[in-house]
Amino acid sequence: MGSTERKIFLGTLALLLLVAALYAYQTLAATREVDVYGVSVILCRNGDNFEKGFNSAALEYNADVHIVTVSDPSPAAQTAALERELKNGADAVILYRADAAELAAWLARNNPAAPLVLAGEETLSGKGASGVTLDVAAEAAALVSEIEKQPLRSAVLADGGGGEARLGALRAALDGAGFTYETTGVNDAERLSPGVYVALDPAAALSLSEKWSEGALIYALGYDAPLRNALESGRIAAIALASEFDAGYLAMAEAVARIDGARPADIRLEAFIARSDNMYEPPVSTILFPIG
Amino acid sequence: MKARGPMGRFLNRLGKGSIRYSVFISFTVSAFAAIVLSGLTFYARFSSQLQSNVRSENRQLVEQVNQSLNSYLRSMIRLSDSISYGVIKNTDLEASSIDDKLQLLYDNNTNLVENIVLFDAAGNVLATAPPATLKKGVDVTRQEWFRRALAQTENLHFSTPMVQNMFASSEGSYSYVVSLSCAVELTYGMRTDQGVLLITLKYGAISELFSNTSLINDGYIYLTGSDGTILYHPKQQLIATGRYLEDSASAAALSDGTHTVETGARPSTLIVRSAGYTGWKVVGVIPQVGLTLDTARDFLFLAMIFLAYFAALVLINALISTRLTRPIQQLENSVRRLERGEGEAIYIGGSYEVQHLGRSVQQMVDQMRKLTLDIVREHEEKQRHELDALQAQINPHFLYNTLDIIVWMIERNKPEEAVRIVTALARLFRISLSKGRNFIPVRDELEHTRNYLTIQQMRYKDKFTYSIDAPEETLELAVIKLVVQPIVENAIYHSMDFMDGEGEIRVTVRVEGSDLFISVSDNGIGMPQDLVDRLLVEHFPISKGSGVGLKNVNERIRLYAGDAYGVIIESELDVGTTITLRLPALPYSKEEAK
Repeated sequence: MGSTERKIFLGTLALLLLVAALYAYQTLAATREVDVYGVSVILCRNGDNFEKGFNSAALEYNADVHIVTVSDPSPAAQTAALERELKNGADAVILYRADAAELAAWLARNNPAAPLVLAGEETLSGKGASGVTLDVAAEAAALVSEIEKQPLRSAVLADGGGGEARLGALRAALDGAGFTYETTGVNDAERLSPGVYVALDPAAALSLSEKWSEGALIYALGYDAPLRNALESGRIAAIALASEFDAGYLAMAEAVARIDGARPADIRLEAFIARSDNMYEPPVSTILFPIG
Repeated sequence: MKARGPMGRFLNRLGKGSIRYSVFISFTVSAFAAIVLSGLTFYARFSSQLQSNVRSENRQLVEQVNQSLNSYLRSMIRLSDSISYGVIKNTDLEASSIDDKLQLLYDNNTNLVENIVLFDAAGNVLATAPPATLKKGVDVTRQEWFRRALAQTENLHFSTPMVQNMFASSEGSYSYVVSLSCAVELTYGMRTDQGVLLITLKYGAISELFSNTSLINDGYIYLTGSDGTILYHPKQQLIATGRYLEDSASAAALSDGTHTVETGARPSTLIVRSAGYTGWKVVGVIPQVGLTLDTARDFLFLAMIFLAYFAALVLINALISTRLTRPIQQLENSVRRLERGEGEAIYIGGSYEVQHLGRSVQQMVDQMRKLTLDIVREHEEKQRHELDALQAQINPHFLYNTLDIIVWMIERNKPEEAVRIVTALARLFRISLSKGRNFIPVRDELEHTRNYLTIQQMRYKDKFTYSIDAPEETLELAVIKLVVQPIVENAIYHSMDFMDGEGEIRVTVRVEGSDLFISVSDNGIGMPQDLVDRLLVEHFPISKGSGVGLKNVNERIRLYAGDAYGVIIESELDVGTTITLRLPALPYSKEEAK
């Protein structure tokens, strides 16, 4: 073989080895891609629509979902559940309506290998966990816009454990609209006096709706299935809510993306207003009653 | 003509390079080009075929879904017709109830039907299956499905999917339904009135037709109303909240068939089919994906295959070209060795053509060697003959005798004759010793002969006479030096010696055609023919004279002029002898004389 032929042959061989190495690397990268994503979902509160959302996404992204319902509302119980799931080898963990402050403190002490996604009203901005969060400020502003349609300018805020974030946003929106308000827990009165009542969470809204009487205008932040009849009958005037289905879907999609190496994202959910006259029309109907 | 441009320079360089390299490049390039072209052709063909098959399969899938939907819709329309014409129309509502019949029909279609309800024109419930009570405050007359049924009594009306909210349901549960409504004729005794039949179809039955179908490239199928309202979509929830966009309105406006549309960053293929009666459209969406990990790996795999083939080609063609051209290389090397004088034999081997070439070169070399030897031999012979002829002129006996004659003439007080002989002798030696010249003009040769005859005539005491006859035009022709004098010498010694004053020697020169003839004739005793035949073959030693015989003259003539020329001997006993020298008639030039 002459020198030119040898150079051509060796050059070709070198290029072949390079391409083969690239191909092997790509093949390895492809095999490293996860076939089935093992995602744990810790439900710190009930969320049927949230569950429908993440199940729909799990089907689409081929995720194996392990659902853990934490009945104990204490932050300790939540972190214990989290540690258990991480120890069991979850590829990612979604926490629904967990205590953000507790989670932040836990993250400060630990460095989990699996990515975390927090879904709910509270954020963990910049703490290394992804967030699928209701824009509480937008929610409060939308609800106050509804409240402004009636003549009263004072309100009673009923807090059933809806969280500081919601309370703070509502106060800011009411302040901005010139409302006066007082904050109270859900009391034991049999009937509500005429006036404007704002429930900071679905539990408070349900309680208030059961005490409804003529002249009482109940507004709520957040929706649960038991509120359907109250909304339909008009006992609850309006509910500001976000799509729980979307939250569940997006939380699962974010968990899968994080497993594939994406950077943590902060996803904000917009707020909608549901009333008796639009609750059966899209998009409110699909938010209140997710298909599938 | 040289080719121009970079390709031209490459081709020129290729043509001037080694044959092995040219063969290697030609084989490799042509084979690789064939592989690439074949590969690309097959790839394009099969890729096109595969894409066509995939498109066809996807079209069939969409078609199947459409047919399933049409079948479902036909079933529901038949159910509606059964109820309208088979139950309601034939029943006097004043006399009997249709609840049982409706319940039977409901029971037979419970997997598809949520409710069957008959209303009068005022919106009052006349019959339901299963039994149910309208929710308080529900006014059906204000609902779209009711108004449309009464407005267009000849048609059946399908609504978009909605949450069933007419009848009370258990807390927390809800169902999505599609309303099928139509106007019906109610019979009350003798009078008839309009009513509305409502069949709420379970949405799940429709969504199930679409939910387990998928197309390539993560494609999907969805159902849209004629105005673009999404009836089913795998991402229906996200579309409702604006998290996902689908241009269903544009898709609904497309005719049945396959269309390419720009959706977002990349185009998509839409397969559109119309569902019967309803105006709904089944739309299959196939995104046209760009480069993905899989396509990148496919390209790398293809590149690997081509490079592997190319490397194998390079190796094989290098071996083939070496094997093919090695005999040529060896032939070339043997020629080079021969040029350097290091070898004797030319390489003969390899293919038939190379062997033939080698043999031809070897023959050529052998021929060249032979010619070279011939030239050398001829040159040596010439030199030898010239030396002989030269030696003949410096024959001591001739010189002694001539000097004796000169002395005798001086002693006899014949100075003029002495001078004449000395002069003739001097001229004789001058011409004899004309250095470096193989050819001289006929004039000089005849002068030389004349001088010789002058001397010999005196020696032989005028035993003979001589004449030299040469036309003017022959005097400047070229003749080999010292060829006439030996003939004359022979004539003197072999013929004149026996004459007594009557001897005659004639030298004549003539040109015939392209030949020069120099004849020396004598009227001597002649020779027998057998002697004539042997004269030019054998060397006859001569007792007198120079000893340079006719054979020497003949050979010299033939050496310089060729075998067609030489000495011609004619002799007749007692008559005389004529010896003719035949030479080519060429003009004399000093440059060629050497």
